[in-house]
This record gives sequence, C-alpha cells and structure tokens, in this order.
Amino acid sequence: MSKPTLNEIHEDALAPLKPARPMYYAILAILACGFGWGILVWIYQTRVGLGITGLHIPVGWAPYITNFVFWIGIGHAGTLISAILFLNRSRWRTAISRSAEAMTVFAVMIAALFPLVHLGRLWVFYYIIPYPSERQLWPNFVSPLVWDICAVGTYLTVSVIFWLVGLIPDAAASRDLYAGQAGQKHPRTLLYRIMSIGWTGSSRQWHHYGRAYLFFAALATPLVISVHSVVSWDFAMANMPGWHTTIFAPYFVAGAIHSGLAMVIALLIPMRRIFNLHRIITIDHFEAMAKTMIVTTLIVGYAYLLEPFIAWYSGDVFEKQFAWLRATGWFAVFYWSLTLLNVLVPLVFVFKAARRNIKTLLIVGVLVNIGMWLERWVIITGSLSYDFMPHNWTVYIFRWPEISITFGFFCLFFFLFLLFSKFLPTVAISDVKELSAGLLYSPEPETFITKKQEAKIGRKESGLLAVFTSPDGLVEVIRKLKDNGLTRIEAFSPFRLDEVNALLHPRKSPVRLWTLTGAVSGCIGGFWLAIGSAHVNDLFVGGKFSPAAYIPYCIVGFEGLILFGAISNLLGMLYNARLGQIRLPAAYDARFTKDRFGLFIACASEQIPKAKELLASFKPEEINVV
Amino acid sequence: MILLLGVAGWCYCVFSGDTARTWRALLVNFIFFTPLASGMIVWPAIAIISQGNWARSLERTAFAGLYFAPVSIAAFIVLWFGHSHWLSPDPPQGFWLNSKFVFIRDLAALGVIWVLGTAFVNRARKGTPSTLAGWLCFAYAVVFTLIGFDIVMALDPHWFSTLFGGYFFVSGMFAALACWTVLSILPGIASAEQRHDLGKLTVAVSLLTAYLMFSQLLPIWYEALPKEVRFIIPRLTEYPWRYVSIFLVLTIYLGPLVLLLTRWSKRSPAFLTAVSLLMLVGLWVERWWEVTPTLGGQLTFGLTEISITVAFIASFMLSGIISFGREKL
Repeated sequence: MSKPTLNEIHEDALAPLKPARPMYYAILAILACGFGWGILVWIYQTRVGLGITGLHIPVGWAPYITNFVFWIGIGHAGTLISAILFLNRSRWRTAISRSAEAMTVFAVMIAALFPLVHLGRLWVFYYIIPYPSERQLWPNFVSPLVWDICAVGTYLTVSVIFWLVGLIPDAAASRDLYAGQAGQKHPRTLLYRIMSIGWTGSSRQWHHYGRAYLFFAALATPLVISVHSVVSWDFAMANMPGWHTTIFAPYFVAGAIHSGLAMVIALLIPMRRIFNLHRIITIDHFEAMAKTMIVTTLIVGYAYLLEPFIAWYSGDVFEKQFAWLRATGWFAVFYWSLTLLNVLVPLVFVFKAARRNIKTLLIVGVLVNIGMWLERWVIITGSLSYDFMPHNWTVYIFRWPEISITFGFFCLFFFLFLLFSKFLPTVAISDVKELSAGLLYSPEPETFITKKQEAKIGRKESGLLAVFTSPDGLVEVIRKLKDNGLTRIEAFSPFRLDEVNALLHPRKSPVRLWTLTGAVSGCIGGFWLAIGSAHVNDLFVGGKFSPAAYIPYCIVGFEGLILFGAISNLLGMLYNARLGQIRLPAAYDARFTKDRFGLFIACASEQIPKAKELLASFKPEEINVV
Repeated sequence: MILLLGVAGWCYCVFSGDTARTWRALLVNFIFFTPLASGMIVWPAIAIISQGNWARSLERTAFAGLYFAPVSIAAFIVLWFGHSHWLSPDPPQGFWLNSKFVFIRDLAALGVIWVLGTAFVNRARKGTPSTLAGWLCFAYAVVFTLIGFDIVMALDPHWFSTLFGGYFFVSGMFAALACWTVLSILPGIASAEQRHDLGKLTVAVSLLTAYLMFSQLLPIWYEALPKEVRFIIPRLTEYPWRYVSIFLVLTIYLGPLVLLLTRWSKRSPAFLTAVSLLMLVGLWVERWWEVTPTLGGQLTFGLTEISITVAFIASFMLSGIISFGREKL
C-alpha cells in the first residue's frame, strides 16, 4: 500500500467527524442504558448499604477494588504508547497514540469512581483530601490509600492535560474543516475553536509546543510506572499472604501494560473497520503492539513463577499454605485460567502469522482482558479468602449489584470512547503527516543563541503571505529573505519543521525553565505537605515516627514533582507560544492545518515588490498581500 | 602484567590473614564484573529487538564483554573453593542451597549465558538478524535472577525478597551500560547524537534501578517483619553502612537524573565519560554494600580488596583490548 498523501491523511482522519448514521445512535443508546442501569443500582446500593453485595468478613475488598485496579491498568497502555514510545522515537506510535490517550483518560476516570462505589457513604470521600480542616485533621501520608489519591489524582490530571495538549493541532484542523463547511457559529466549530486555543501552526507555536510535548512525555513516563506501583502497594504494604511481596510493583506495572495493550487492540480493530482508517492504522501497528505484548507476557510469566518459588523459599507457613491453596482451592479454576489466558495465549504472537491476523489479534486481545481481570480478582479476593487461619477461610459469591455496576461501567467506557471517536480526531493527524513527510524524530539541528531579539510579529500586522505546497526549500527561502533584510518572518505548517524553527526561533525554548521550576517546587511541596501535616498532631502511628518517615514521603514528593512539573509545563507552553488568543491573525489561511505551508513576511508596503521578487524564484502556489 | 600482580596479591592474602575477607572480595568482584560483561552483549540485543538503529555502529564496542567469559567462569570455580566462607552450612531451604547443587546449577547458568552470548555475537558480526537476540535477553534475565538469588540473597538464607533477582540483573545492565558508554566514547567512536542517546538511556536505567530498589525497600520497611527487615537494618541505621547508602542514593540512584539533565551534559564526551565512570565506581560499591554487612565485614579497603579488584579490572581491560583488536576499532 503506497504512503498516503497529506490530503488523504487529513480526509481519512477527519471523515468520522461527519454526522453519524442511525446505527451509531442506536449503539450509543444501548450503552447509555447499560450505564444508566449501573448508576441506578449504585444509587440503590448507596441507600441500602454495602450489605447487598457479597462483601463479608474477611473479604473486605472484592469486585469494586478489582475493577479499580483493572481500569487503572487499562489506562497504562495509553500512556505507554503516547509517552514512552515517543521518547523511544517509535514510528508506529503515531497512528494510534490519540485513541490510546483517550482510552487512558476514560479508563482512569472510571477507575477513580470505583473507590467511591466501594466507600458506601461516598459523600465522606473528602476526608482523605489534604485540606486544613476545622479540627486540624490531616490524612496520614504514611498510608498507601493516601498515596493512591496523590498518584491517581496526578495521573488523571496529567493524562487529561497530555491528551488535550496533543489534541491542540488536530482540533485546529477540525476547526478549520468545520468552519469551512458549517460556518463559524456552528457549535462544533465553537468546540474546536475553544479546544485549539488559537492554534495557527506558526513556527513559534510549534517550537515551544514541541519542547513542551517532550517534557510532558518525559514526565508522564515515570508517572505511569509510579501510579500502578502505588496501586500495587495498597496490597504489598499489608501483611496478607500473597500480598506482602516486593515484586508487586513491577509485576503490576507489567500486567497493566499487558492488559492495556490488549484493550487497545480490542478497541482499535473495530474502530478502524467502522471508520475506514485502514490507510492510517495498518496491520504493522498491530504487529508492533503484539510484539510488545510478548515482552509483557514474559515479565508477567516471570512473576507468576517467582511468587510460589519464593513462597516456598521463605519457609513462611502462611505463604506456603496460600500458594498451595491458590492452586488447589475454590478459585483454582480462576488461577489456572488466568495463567493460561495471560501467559500462554499471548505467546501465540511469537508466530508472525498470528501477529498479522486480525481475527487472532482481536481474540487474543479480548482473552487477555478477561485473564487480567481474573488476575486482579485472584490477587485481591484470593488472598483475603485464604488468609492465615483456616476458620477464617471463605468462599466469595458475586451478587447482582456488583455484577450490574461492573457491567454498567464497562458500558460507560465504550460509551465515552464512542463519543470521542465521533467528536474528536481519533488519529494524531499532525504526527502522521510529519511521519509521512519523513521528518518525524529528525535530529534536532544545532541552534545558535543570538543576542538579537526574536522577531515579534503581532496579530494585525500587514505584509506578504506566500503559500507553498511542500516544506522543501522553505529553509532556503527564509535564508534568502533574511540575507536581503527581511527578517520579520513567520512560517505556518500542519506539522513541526525543526529546521525552519531553528532559523526563525533560534533561542532555546524557555519552557524548560518553567517545567524545572514547577517540578522542583512540586517535589519540595510534596515533602512539605507530608512532613508538615504529620507535625500538626505528632501522632506516632504504626510504629513509624511520622514526621521523619521519609521513605513513604518520597512517593508524595514524587507525585508533587510530576503534577506541578506538568502544570507549569502547560503554563509555560501557553505563555511562550502565545496560545489562548481568541481571534486568529489576519495572515492565517485555513489550509495551513491541512496540507499547505505558509510564509508570512511582515513588512512595509514599499518592501512588498522586493519580497515578491525574492519569493518568485521559489515558485509559491500563491502570494497574497495582507 | 598487572593482572598477574593482582592475582598474586590476592592469593597471598588468601593464605595469610583474614581469609573470610579475601573470599568476600573475590565474591564482590565476581558479582560486579560478570553481569557487567554479559550485560554488555545484551545491550545490542535489546537495540535490535526494539529496532533502535541509533546503536548499530556501537555494537562492536559492546561485544568486548564476550572475552571476559573465561575469566568469569574461572573466578566462579575459584570462588567455589572458598564457599565455606560465604555459603551457609545449614540453610533452612535444605537441598536447594546445598553447596554442590548451587555450584552445578550456577555453573550451568553461566555456561548458558556465555554460550548464547557467543552465538549471538558471531551471528551479529556476520550481520544475520536472528531471534537469538530475544532469547539472549530472556536468558540474561533468568540466569542473573538465579545467580542473584543463589550468590547474594542466599548469603543470609533467612532473608528473602522476591524482587531481588530482578534488581540484580537490572543493576547489572546498568553497569554494563556505563561500561559500554565509556568504551564507546574513549576511542571516539560515538557521535554526538549517540552520546545523547546513551546519556538518556543512562538516566532511564538509573531510575529503573532506583525504582526496583525502592520497591523492595518500601514494603520491607513498612511491615518491619523480622525476617525481612534484617537486610535493611544495618544499611539504614548502622554506622558506617548508613553513609554508604546515602552515597549510593546520591550517585547511582539519583545521580544521573541530576547530572545528566541538560543537553550539553549528555553530548559532552568528557562529562558523560566522567559520569559513567562514577556510575561504575558507585555500582561496585553497591555490590560490596549488598554483600559485606551480611557477612559481617567492616568498612575497610586494604590490600585484599584492591588487589583482586585490580586483577579483575586488568583482565577486563585485557578482554577489551583483545576485542578491539579483533574488531579493528
């Protein structure tokens, strides 16, 4: 299949935004009903109490916490694909990153609901938020549940920011498409105008945006590892057999990426089919995901083998007992199924034919999702039902409220994803265009620091606008113009052009200083919050002298680092790229987000003929006086 | 020459003076250099699997680790003669930690990794892509998990940590990366882009190592169970190990993050080499810190440690010289 042109990419990616067929609304309605049923059951449960679920001593955590861990895990693959693969400079990331990020945002939103469901009296959730209360009661930062709030809260915030920032250029493309088709006043146009916050694709914007995006990726990567580690430490900090083991953190993170990749595969195969995105999302993308799944399978398998081995090695009676019962007790069927589904089934991807077969990919994706849900179930409820003493052992039976709420929130996830795929571009359009132009991840040109001020071009300036059909040669044009005294130039493009940016904006982007300041103050702030709040009452809890319990406070400091680093990164980008302007400059042409490249030369009317003459040799498609 | 001097020095120390300490010194050097050398071969394998074309021209410097194979096996066999000094005589695990069984399986494991490594290097030199890269990575993880459990964790058979094997092989890869960086920069082989990538990779792997260390520290500290916390008590609270721990946090765990933050620092050959050498020293200290408090040693560096360390360094440099000569670098 030949490489798609810029125009084809643009049209393919934005085609799903057209008005929907009735089938779409029908499916949306069914999912809404499912979700609605789940909410009704939740309201009923809140009224009547958690006794209607299967929860009973000693099993205090069951399907709701399983769902919580499962959905956080699903979110991880999105950040892996967006952030980690961006840092790795993987090419196959571009077509799937936007959908994966959206999946992350929705999965984490749903995950965050489950502790509320599990709380019963969900209105008291605010107890755990650190705020100066009347009675000077602060949450205990030595508790893993409080780390959860820090980590999941940070993850939700940063994922949403990362997703929305990534969407800015694509929202601009949608804005221009809709403005052209439906006019400026149409609600969709307004939506995209707000989301694109004045994006024009100018080189100034790309320059600062590019650095900010890199920092977002660099911050999101350790965040994603920390979040699921913190969730795993909800269990590893306890003394339960099967829970208290040091391998939980990397084991959970690998499992999260495993289940998340399976969900991405399971979501994208139908999405690609329904929205005809075959030219952009090819079988190579799925093969790359399948290969990554082999790695996660091996890590998960490694953990599955080591746990019983160390249980025996440790000589601990309760660990050995639990390892034995897990394999032979009442949920042995789940344990053996999950081993099969999570480790043996995905190993079929070792064979190339399996990796490139759509049906196999879809089946394996769905099976791994089931297996990973079961794994969470076995870890959480299994350890609780087979704890230390035999008289305490129990069988857990699902009741209808739990099944309804689990089902309802699955419906919510697909409902949100379906809304996303209709209203927002599901493909990172500018990245795919950059890839097809062969410029993705090109090495950064050496920038030279000049003492001269960068040309600040105002929104209402007049001058000459030249439109080109290709970015080749833009660098020579700019050099020639600058040599002839026309230095106030701005370039426009649908994707980042590093060499052009280096010429027009040679000063290193100051966004890095914003980010560093935010990160350092966030880290100090996190430690200050934890140590300070412990000092308020100086309670000696759990044998750990709280004010000096710096080991768990590292987590709070770390999440603060990421959160404030990301927020200041965002602010730095908005400020330096001058985003947030309501009206677009007069020199802007809507084709610049599609497949045309522009050069705006701000000059007095006397200089215009000279500029036209200089430009003529480079054969622009159009030259307009603005 | 230096190698022979080092070995002679060590042998002298074995037969006179504090024998436990001399065997410990050999152990520390074995667990530092062996994962380093075999890890160096694994890095190109990882680059191949992840299609990281940036590293192709640097592969040949990484293959220098291969020539260390005979030294590591010889060191292991020599280590065996002194096993009474470091392997527990009557472990609760019974047959699993029986000295003969440990010796045979670990020797076999070493054999597996070196044979696979040799096969991979031969294929890579001929330029034939192979699935051997994947197998090599997997084998490295399994072999050094086992060696980590048997040679380090078993020093105190009452202690255990499920992640210890994982931490051991990842920190081995960290040492291998630091050594690969030094070997690629000193002869001027790595370009600015490649140095930048090596620097970024160093930060990533150091954070990964720190994460795996923290993942063990946190649950063990939190629950303070006697059978687990026995490992961290001397290293967190007792003099002088406490200061060694602080030194390690500042150098190998958080050092690269701070030192290699800027673009310049990663591209500058001198600075990156200096940081990588610091990492190598730090990781050696880390291996020593894993072993010595458990075996009741003191914070002393004398002829014992220096002689055998020098011997190992010399043999490693010898293997590097042979390799570079072969590759005509």
